[in-house]
Amino acid sequence: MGEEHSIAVSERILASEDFSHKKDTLMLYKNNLETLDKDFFTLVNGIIINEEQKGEVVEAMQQKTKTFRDKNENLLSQLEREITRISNTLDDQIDDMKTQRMTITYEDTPSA
Amino acid sequence: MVYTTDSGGKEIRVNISASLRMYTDGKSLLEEKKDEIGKLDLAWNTEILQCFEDEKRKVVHKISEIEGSPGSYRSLLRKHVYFSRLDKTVRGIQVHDVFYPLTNADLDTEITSLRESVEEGFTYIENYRKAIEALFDKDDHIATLFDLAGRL
Repeated sequence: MGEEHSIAVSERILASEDFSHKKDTLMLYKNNLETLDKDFFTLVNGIIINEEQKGEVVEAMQQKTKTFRDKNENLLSQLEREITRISNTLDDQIDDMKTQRMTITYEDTPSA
Repeated sequence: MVYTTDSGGKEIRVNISASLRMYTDGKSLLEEKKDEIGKLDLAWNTEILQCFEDEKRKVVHKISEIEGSPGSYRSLLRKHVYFSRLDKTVRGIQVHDVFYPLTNADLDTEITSLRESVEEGFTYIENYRKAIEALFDKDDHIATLFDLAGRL
């Protein structure tokens, strides 16, 4: 029996993979939400015909529409940023998991 | 169908057909948006959370494979130990497995805000209806038109 040794190392045990397609899948839902929002605000356009003759009430309605539309647009921009971020962090966290600490015990044996 | 009103001393022409369409189709679009948010929530669960768990299972499986057949993983040792005139035989590998849960990778805040925006949309539609009604006299029966459209 040869001499036995132990060595503690950190090693990647599975190959790295690309999970960027996860972002594309989630972005499909964001794009669908964007289309629904656009359709919604298209419905509002065309209600008041003569915009140049705005009354106080009409102006208030249009201001509320603008505020609501801006808010929805900001929400979808925020969603897009988060989808990108979580897709990247998923990639990183999976990759980190594939490297593990281990102790290898081996024995010196005469070469053939 | 265009109605004219002189609310506030200025003549305003309102497309009542468009208003009624906004009232009915707008609600349908909001319902669709609600469904789409549900699908996004589900997709996050399958695409992100399940993916992480699947990959974790692959790592656990690989660890058990390495520990079960350490002799097959001599290449791991070669990366760290110089094989001189003496050959090396791997007798055992113990993986000190560490798994952290997936963190900071959810869309909870965004999904909650999107759901709130749908509710805000319903309120917006009702407020818009009230604002249109307020432009006209009661005798114009605008409220009745909205009620009828809402029932269709």
